[in-house]
Amino acid sequence: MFEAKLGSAALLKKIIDSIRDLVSDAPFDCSENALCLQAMDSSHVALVSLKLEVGLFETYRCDRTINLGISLANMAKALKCANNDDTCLIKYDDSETDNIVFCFVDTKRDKTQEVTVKLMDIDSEHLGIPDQDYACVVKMPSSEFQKVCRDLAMFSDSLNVTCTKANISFSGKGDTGGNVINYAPTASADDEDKKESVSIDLREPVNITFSIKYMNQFTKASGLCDTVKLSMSNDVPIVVEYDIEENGYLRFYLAPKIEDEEN
Amino acid sequence: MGVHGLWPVLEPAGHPVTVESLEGKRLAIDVSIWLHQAMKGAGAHQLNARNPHLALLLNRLAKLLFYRIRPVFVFDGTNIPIFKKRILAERRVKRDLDTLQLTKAQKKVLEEAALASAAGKPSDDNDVSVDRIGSASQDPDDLFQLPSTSKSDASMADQMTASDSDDDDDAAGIPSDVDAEVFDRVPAELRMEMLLDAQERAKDARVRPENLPSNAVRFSRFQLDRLLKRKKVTEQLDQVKRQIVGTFSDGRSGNVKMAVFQGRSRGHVVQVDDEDEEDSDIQILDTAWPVLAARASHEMRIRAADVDLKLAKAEDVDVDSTKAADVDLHLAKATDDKLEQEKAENGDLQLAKAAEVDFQLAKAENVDFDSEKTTDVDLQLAIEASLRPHSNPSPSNGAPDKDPQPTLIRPPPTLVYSSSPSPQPSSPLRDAASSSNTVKKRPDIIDLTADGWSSNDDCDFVDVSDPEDVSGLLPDNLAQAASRNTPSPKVIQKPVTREEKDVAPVASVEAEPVDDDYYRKELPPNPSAGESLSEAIYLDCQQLLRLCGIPYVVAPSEAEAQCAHLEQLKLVNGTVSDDSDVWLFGASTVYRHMFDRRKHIQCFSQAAIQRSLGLTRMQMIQVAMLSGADYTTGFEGVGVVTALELIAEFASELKGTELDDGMAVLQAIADWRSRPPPCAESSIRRRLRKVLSNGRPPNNFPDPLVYDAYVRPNVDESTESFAWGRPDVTGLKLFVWDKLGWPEEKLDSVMKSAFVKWNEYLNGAPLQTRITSFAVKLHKKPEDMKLASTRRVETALKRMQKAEPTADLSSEPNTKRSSSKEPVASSKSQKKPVKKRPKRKATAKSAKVFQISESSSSESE
Repeated sequence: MFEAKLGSAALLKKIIDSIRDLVSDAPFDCSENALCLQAMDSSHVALVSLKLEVGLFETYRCDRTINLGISLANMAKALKCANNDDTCLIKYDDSETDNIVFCFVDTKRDKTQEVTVKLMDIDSEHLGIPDQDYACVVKMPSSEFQKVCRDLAMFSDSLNVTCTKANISFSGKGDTGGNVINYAPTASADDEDKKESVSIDLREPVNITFSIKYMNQFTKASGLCDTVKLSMSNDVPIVVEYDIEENGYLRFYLAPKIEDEEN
Repeated sequence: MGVHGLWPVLEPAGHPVTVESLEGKRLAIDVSIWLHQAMKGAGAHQLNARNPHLALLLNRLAKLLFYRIRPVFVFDGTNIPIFKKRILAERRVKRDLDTLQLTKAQKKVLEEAALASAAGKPSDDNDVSVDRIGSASQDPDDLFQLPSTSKSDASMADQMTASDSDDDDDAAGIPSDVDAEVFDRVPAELRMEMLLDAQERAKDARVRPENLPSNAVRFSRFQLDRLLKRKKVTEQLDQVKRQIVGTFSDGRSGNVKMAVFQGRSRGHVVQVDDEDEEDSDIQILDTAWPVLAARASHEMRIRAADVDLKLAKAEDVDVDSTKAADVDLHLAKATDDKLEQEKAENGDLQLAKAAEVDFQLAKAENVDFDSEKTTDVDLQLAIEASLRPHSNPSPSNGAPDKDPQPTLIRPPPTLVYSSSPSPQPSSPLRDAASSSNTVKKRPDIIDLTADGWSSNDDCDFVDVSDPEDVSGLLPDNLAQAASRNTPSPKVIQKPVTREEKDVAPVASVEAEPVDDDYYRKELPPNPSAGESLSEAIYLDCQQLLRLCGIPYVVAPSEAEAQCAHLEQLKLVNGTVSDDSDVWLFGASTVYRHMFDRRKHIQCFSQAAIQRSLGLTRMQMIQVAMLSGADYTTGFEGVGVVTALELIAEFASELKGTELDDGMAVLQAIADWRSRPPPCAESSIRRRLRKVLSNGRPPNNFPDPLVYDAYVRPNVDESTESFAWGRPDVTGLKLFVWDKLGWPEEKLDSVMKSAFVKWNEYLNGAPLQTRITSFAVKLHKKPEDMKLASTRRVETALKRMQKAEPTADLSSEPNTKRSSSKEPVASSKSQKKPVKKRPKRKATAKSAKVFQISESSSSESE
């Protein structure tokens, strides 16, 4: 038996919309403490890690660990039925093992809607992500980062990040042109400014390259959180993290592109 | 190829991967099957058969380059172990047998043609034609009786009479065949006389190139004659001889003609140089040894034909016997242009051979069958041997070489018979002889042909001497042969040669070497024909790869082995092969279905196999040796599953270090098999014993040489790393135009996008890494592990793991679960909490399968 009620269906909608292009079928792991999801894209370059902690939910009940395989396309369809202000109850009953039920309630109008989605068997591979002390952690406005990625994609298919104490530079170069965007860390951010500030926490300079195609998919989650946290070290996957109401996160891991050792 | 049935067992350990995820990987590509695939594919689709291998190679290369996979192509080498050659030859015969049976309708047509033309022959040719007709008409019957008439000698006799009457019946249908009936009733001596005459005539009127148009007729005749002859041989030797003499009057050239004909029927232009060549050789010989000459010439022709046959039987088989190929080339005058034709010829010769074997099969239990079988092998070996020594009559090979001569001069048939029907007396002897042959043979092959000619010869002649001993048991034959040959040299030489040719190829070959010196001097040194067939193809492919800047390796022996070794040397990240042999050679990562559009690419790793199935390389080798693979036939009736059961059963007896030695288990099985069954034996063992004793056992089981060939394959040890160059597009265009007739646009459509991507890589575009290479993959919980295998496989694997302390412990619970003794309830409770769900993804398949098999097994309990 699993039941979890979200105050607003909009949150779930945003989350699913931001990852459904990356991952088509997702295994949701429901445990006592959180609803989690970990999945890789089909080419195993990016990994999505979602954690929705109990605190996010109005009610949460999970008797035992359950793994629910859901097609995100179908889940998105179900969520489309909900208005943004509707509450969303996710129900899985042991007795009816093949389905998961989304129950949307419009409290103002006393309207309820139940959408049933078939579950699927997903051959999920759980990856243990090693704890990493990243050489560089950058926080910046998520909308800024989204724009950076969009702009760089015009000329290039890869995004180079160079980070020093003094600044962080995003650059991309293609056959037809190039683009370099620099940010200097905002001096001392006031609390109200925090949303707009760029902060760099640097231990070592970093210079890595990523596929911009994936970055542009990640930034679809920009609506979830005002700031994005980029954690980077040379030659390891970058983590693009969006906090979810301080009770969870949506993280994207992206494997870097590396120069071929033989060329 | 490979171990039949091994893939399905391994299936659960594989996981599907996307091509994209292979980007930047260095993969060894096992090309050995490609060429066959190309040929087959082109043939099956009636495509323009011009260099289909190159088209295939280009297409596949395009795929690899597009995904920026760095391929290293690995070609088969020439030095294939003899056991593989033999197995391949056997398989081919089997296959050809099937084809033969399939072409029933074709045969009918040919037969009719034969009858018609025979009817039209001038009357003085009657004997011959009659005989031919007789055989021709009766033959198909026998052929198609195959399934029903297989068996005992007694039934053989019945069959003989039956077929004789068939003969009459059939013949009666044709006007000119009134003679045939009469002929059949004529006293044997007279008949023989006639047949000898006929043969004489036929010999004089050997088919010339200009006679070729009538080949259709002759082909069927020859083929059928051969069949008839076989049959008679087994019936009664005396009669056999007469029949042989008659039916084979032009049978010997028939070998060649047959091939020629069939080649033609398939639209190949075939040269008949063969016969001309033979003639010239014969002439030479005649001048050299008046007495011996006639016989020798026959023998030579026979041998030549046989060599041809052999070559045909396995293009690869004779790969290392360049000498044999010399002869063949001499016969066939194979120039590069003619390679394909030659191949066709070869193929057809196989058919011819298959026809013989076919007939033999009809008498499955008959002694003759086995004798033929062995002689086939012997012949092959002997041919190789006989062909080698010529240039160098050193004492060691000189002795054996000359040996046949004197015997031939005095009582020629003795030797002839001695070696040929040797297998006949009794099966144990036969087996012993043949196995000894093979055993002795192997070392040569392993040590390469180049160095040890003399030693090779020794072995070969030792081989022959074995049969000679055995032949002592055949006084009948010998006596008859002797008596036959005493009367007049003229007469002698024919029967002898006839018999030699078809019954005793070994002997004929043996007599050869001396002649061959002559042969050899006449001939310019040639590349081996059998080799050059595939060699030309290989060279084309390699040229193509060079133009594309792709590195390749020509393995000393087996491409799969080389692939596995490259991986062990860390020169590549994995192997692309659909051949399960790679596992036996120690591959650790194998990608399957790389070029199969209908299937996902599957990635297998030795580690995963061991983890989820508990199967080690050693055990896979054991499976191969029990159930049969490219190097050994294994036990008849033992498949992978039974093999696993056997290993499981006996591995549990051994302990500690014994388990490290893969041979120990096999030896234990062999010992147990040869021991008489104890009165109290477990039901498993009783069943296994039954299976083992039912089928024909492999020679010399467990053969340490075969085992060794798997464990320590002959590979190139070079650790030089590979480099990928820029494609020479201009050169490629020319090459493709030249070889495939592709215009530039077509090449562009195939290769352009691939080259664009590839050039990106060459220009140093960064490679996308995979998240999986950074994150630790958590092994699935035991209950998540999938086993699509059947119960028997699971049980066997489980037992194997128990026997093996080194086995991964994590897989224990899994296998325990599948144990038959486990209560259903507990197995259920361990199941994934989430129960059955609709299967949507192919990737979810195996887990599903397991659940299904699990539940069904629960039900059965």
